[in-house]
Amino acid sequence: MKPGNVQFAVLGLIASKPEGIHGYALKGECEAISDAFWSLNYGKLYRILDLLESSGELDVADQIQQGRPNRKVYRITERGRRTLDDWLLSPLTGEAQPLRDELVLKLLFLGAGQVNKVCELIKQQRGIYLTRLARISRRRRRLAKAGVDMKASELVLDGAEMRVRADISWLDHVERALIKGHFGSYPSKQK
Amino acid sequence: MIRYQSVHKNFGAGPTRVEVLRGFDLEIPAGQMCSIMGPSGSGKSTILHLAAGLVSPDSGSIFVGGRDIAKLDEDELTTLRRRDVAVVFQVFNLLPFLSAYDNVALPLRLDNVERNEERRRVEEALELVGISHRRNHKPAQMSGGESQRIAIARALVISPSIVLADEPTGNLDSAASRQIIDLLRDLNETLGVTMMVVTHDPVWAACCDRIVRLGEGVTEDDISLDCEARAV
Ligand SMILES: Nc1ncnc2c1ncn2[C@@H]1O[C@H](COP(=O)(O)OP(=O)(O)OP(=O)(O)O)[C@@H](O)[C@H]1O
Ligand SMILES: [Mg+2]
Repeated sequence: MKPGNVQFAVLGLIASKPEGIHGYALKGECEAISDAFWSLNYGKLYRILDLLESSGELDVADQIQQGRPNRKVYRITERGRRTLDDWLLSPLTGEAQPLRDELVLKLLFLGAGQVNKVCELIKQQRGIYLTRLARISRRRRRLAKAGVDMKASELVLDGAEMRVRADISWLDHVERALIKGHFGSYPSKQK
Repeated sequence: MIRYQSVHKNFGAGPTRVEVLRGFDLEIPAGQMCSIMGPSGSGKSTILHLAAGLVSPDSGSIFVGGRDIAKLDEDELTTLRRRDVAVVFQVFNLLPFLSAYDNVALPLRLDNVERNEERRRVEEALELVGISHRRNHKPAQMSGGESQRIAIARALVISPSIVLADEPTGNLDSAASRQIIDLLRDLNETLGVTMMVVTHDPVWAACCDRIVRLGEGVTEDDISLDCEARAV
C-alpha cells in the first residue's frame, strides 16, 4: 500500500466511529480490514495519528480509566471529513497494485451518495486498462509481421495480457456489486 | 459507414415487453473496426441485426453506407443483404450436407452469379482465410476454428463493404480465437472492410480501433484505441 493511502485508511476508520475510537482498538480495526495486506505497527500508527491531529483532521480527548492511565480517544473533525471525501472522489492511481488496494479502501468508506462518482472512476480506469490491452495487441502484431522468432517476447506479452485481463474482470465485478448497493459503511454527512 | 440515430427498439408487448434500445446513437466511419461490449441482454445482437436489416427499429434511423435503410424497398434490402452487408455468427451456421466450398459458394448461387465468376471468387475467399486445403470437407470434419474460417469466407465472398460479427470467437478456445480475430483484423486492414464485432472478451475487443460499451439501452462508454504504438 502506498504510504499516503494508509493515512486515509486510518481517517476512514475513525470516521466510521462517530463515538470515537482509541489507538489499540484502531489497530485491531486496521488489521480486520486489511487482511494483512499492509503491516502497521504501533509506532507508525501513532505517528500517523499525531500528524492527522496536528493538521486538524482529528480531535483528541482523554478518556479517564479507573486504576489505569488515561487513554486518547480520536474523533474525526469537519475538516477531516472534507479531506476524506476529497480523497474518496479523486482519480485512482493508474498502477495495478496500488489501484486494487486504493479502490478497496475507497469502497469501505464510501457514502451512499457517492456510488455514482466511484462508478465514474471505475469507468476511467477500465479505459486505461483497455488502452493497455490495445498496445499489447499492436505490439504482438508488429512482432509477428516483422517475422522475428518471438517465443520469449510472446510469453512476456501473454503475461502482461493476463494481468490486465484479471484487473478488468475485477473492476467489472466491483462495478456489479456497487450497482447492487453492497457498499457504503461510512456514515456520510448527507444523511 | 454505419450510423444509428436515436434508435429505440422494444420486443414484445404488455407485461412481457422488453425495452432494449432507448435512443441509441452511434456512428462508425468507413474502414473502422469497432467492437461492441455489454452485459448479456443489453442489445448487442439487436444492434447488429438492425444494421443487417434483419430487424427494424421502433423509431429512429439506421444509415448503412449513407442510405437510410427504412427507405429501401424490398429489392434494395435484398441487395443490401446479398452484396453489401455480411454477418458472421457465434454458431457457424454452415449447412452440414454441403462441402466447405459449396457453403462458401451459397450466397453467390442465391444471387445467380455465373459459374466461372463463382469459382474465382470462392477460391479467392478460401485463400484469404487460409483454408483452401479444406475445400472438400464437410462441416462435421472440421474443427471450430476451421468452421469459423469457412463462415468468414462465406461472408467475404460477396465482397461486402461491411462485416458484422456476433461473438465470432464465442465457441473457440483462446488460440483459435486469437487466429480468428487476427484474421478479421487483417481483412479490415487489407480490404478496408468496415467491421462491428460483438465480444465479451476485453482482449479481443482491444484488437479493434474502438470499443463501445452498451448499458441501459444507450452507449455507456465509447473508448477510442487510436493509441499509437508505445511501449507496453
Ligand atoms: N426476437 C425477439 N423477441 C423477443 N425478445 C427479443 C428478441 N430478440 C431479442 N430479444 C430480447 O432483447 C434483449 C436484448 O437481446 P440481444 O440478443 O440483443 O442481447 P445481447 O446483448 O446480444 O445478449 P447476449 O450477450 O446474451 O448475446 C434480450 O432481453 C432479449 O431477450
Ligand atoms: Mg447476442
